[in-house]
Amino acid sequence: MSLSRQWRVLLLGLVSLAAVGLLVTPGIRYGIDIAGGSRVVLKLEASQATIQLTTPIVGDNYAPLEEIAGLIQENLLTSVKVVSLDRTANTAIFEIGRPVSSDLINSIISDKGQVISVEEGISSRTRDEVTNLLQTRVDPAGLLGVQSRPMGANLVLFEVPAMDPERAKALLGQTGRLEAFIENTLVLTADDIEQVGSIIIRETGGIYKYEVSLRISEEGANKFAAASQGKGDYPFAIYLDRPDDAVLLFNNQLLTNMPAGLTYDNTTRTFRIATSETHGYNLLVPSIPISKGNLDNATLQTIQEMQVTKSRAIFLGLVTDFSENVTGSVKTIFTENRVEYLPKESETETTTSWLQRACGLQSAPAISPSIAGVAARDVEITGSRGSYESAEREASDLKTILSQRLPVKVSFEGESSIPARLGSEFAFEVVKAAIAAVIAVGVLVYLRYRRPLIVGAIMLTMGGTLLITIGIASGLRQTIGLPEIGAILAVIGTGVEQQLIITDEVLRRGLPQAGPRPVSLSGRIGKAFAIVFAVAATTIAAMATLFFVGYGAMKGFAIIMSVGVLVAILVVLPAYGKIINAIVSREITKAEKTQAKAAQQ
Amino acid sequence: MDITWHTKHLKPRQMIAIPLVLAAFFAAVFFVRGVPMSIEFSSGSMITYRNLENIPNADAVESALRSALTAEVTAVQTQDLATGTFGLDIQTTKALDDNGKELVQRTMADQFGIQSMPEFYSIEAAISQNYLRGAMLAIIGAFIAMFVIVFLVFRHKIVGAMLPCVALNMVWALGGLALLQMQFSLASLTGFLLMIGFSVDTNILLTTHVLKRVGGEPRERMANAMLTGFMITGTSLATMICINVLVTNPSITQLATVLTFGLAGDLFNTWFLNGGVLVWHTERQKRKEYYVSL
Repeated sequence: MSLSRQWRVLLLGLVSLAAVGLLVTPGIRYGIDIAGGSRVVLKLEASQATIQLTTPIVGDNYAPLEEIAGLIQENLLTSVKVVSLDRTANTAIFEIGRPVSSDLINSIISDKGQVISVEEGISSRTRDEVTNLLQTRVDPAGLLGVQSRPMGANLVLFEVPAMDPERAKALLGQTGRLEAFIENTLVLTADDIEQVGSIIIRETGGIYKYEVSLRISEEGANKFAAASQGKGDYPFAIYLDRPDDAVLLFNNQLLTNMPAGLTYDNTTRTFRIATSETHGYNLLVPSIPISKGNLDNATLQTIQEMQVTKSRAIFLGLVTDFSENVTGSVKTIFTENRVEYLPKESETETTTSWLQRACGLQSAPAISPSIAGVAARDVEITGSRGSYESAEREASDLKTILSQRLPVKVSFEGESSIPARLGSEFAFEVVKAAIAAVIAVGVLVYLRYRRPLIVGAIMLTMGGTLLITIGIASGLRQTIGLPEIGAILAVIGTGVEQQLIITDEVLRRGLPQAGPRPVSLSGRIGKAFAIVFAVAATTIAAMATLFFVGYGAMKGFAIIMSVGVLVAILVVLPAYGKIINAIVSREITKAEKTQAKAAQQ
Repeated sequence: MDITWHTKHLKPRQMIAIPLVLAAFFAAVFFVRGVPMSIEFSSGSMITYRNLENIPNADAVESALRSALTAEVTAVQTQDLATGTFGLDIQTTKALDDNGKELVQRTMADQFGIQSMPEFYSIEAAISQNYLRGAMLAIIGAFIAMFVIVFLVFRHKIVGAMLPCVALNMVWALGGLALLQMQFSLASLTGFLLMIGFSVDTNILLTTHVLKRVGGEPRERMANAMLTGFMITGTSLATMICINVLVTNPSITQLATVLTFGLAGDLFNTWFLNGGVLVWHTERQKRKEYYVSL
């Protein structure tokens, strides 16, 4: 057979080689069962506020409920849902997407109602919603195989295989609550974002600056136009997850040693960052200077007053940076687990960027005079990092977080790594079983066809399918866990099936009353392929549905199975057809020769 | 032994009856015995130990608590990423009341010398009702997609008979799980998905031969396809048996059990049920032609 007619066989060889390459780099990514991973416990910090309504609900008129929900939503910039309504008692339970106190809610709703109680807790519907969003954040394509399960009243346990814990934390821990201010006026919120656009990364002098573009709704653009009228060159301060429920406590030594451009205002209790000689912006989280050793009465009173509207305290620094005396008295005000510490990221972090980070300030670009007062629909969030990779990762995480915003605030309860559940013993058993299965299939095939060459061809192409499928899976960065091993088994199984269908068609000696004339060898292969294509099309249709409708484990299965079936139908089986053709036609020529010889004699 | 005997001697109605009776048997087994749900699919409790000095073997903890609680238990060693200390996460399908909690603590203290107080949480199914609903939708969607494709390929509504056959394989597999009291887990769910792929193959093989080929009687063509089909299912079954015998991991065993029963069911559901329907259809078609030609 000439080389040109063997291109299918060549293609199989080349693709197998490429697959070996993919297995070397990037290599197989194993699932949590095989390689271990991390467990992250998240707390979903929603509150359930029971409110006595001033105006009773009559019939279908739910306006009083909507009014209260609207007020809370506007003031706290968080999602508010009515979970239940008791018409006889005239009370309703509102689910609020962050921790709140009764005083805070009472001050917001004023005469519209009276708060009866506030409890921590989340409805199962909201919990499912949040869990799904978080799952999409860490595992958008379902390639990673993240598993989650609800735990306790408001906890969710996530199992994430092979992911940098810091990254998992960044993706799981942020709510995605965006706010943009011009002077202390809130101009845009996350609700005004219509679409999160593309990422641009630029390098200037070793610093990589990234830009994530946001498309703003028309309404948002109008708000921007009104607020930015005549405010050219003013900073446009964009916050992500501003800790508006917290008060910052910092060592008062900081004030004696302020970097240029940073000032502290004692009356508003906020820091101010100057962006030019005439302009600047306030960091909109109340910050209170405290002495390291002990709290004087005035400070203590201020903190106590803060506790009415704020539900947690964040110390700027490590636990050890403040005396036990200080942390102890703050803990008695806010309770033990509502006190947090936020140290500098590294020694080189400037005080200004530390404060910006603590306040959730993402960027503060100056409004270009040409767009001030104009209904601009595109806004960029910027940031900079030391390397291209970290800039890209941060930008894409930011994009993910803004695209999958959470209706409730989340916080970390714990994080631990877990070992592989299926140990090395398992791998050994699988290899043993695989060898046994290959032998068993080989024996069966031999018993049926009695031709060692065909057994060899089937085994060889089966190996090819396996190799290429796993290679492509590595290339796709698909995690190989238990469901995927199942899919690989299925790929091998269906691959062998299809080879058997082709072989049977080719070797068929014709039926007793076969058609008007015998079908040629290539015609028989063509007929076999008709069946094989129908089978492949059905399998892919089924798998595509599983991929789009199913979750996690089903997605991984569907991806591997579709890849395997495509590999089989496009690369492996055409080559197998050629090989079997060669084997059979050689047999036919041999048989004809012996026949001819016999005839001669 | 002639495995294609029935294709020559049975009436379509008889062919169809055999798999239906068998499927009814497996359905009955499923409804009577039920299938236990694995830890992923059921709610229960999570027990977490932190800051342990000596971490016991997770397998030993599993078996000790399994017999103490008489419920499914999985244990895993953890290492806290912030502090680097070790701990244990134990999950069980049992909702622990105060007695149960005490029992866990006593077992851990007596058998492994762990005196520290664990945290107890109630946990809900990892595969939530939502997820299950999604999975169901996905499987139904997959069936519809398959129907559309086979319909496009064969352009005849009789091929719709293929889908109940695939569905009946699932009944066999569920009955098999119930018979052996094996758990329905994520792994067995994978097995079900796998089975869809396998069983469609044999049905398409059969349908192509009976409906699309020329030459010979439909029954002969079916017998011919059946030889290939048995070979196909035979190789798959051989693989599953190897896996069942050699791999001790429960997940893999669950997956293989589903497939073993499903494939065994496929032998009947394809070659008797779908085969019977197709033979009935082609023979009736022939009679019609005969009357028309008269």
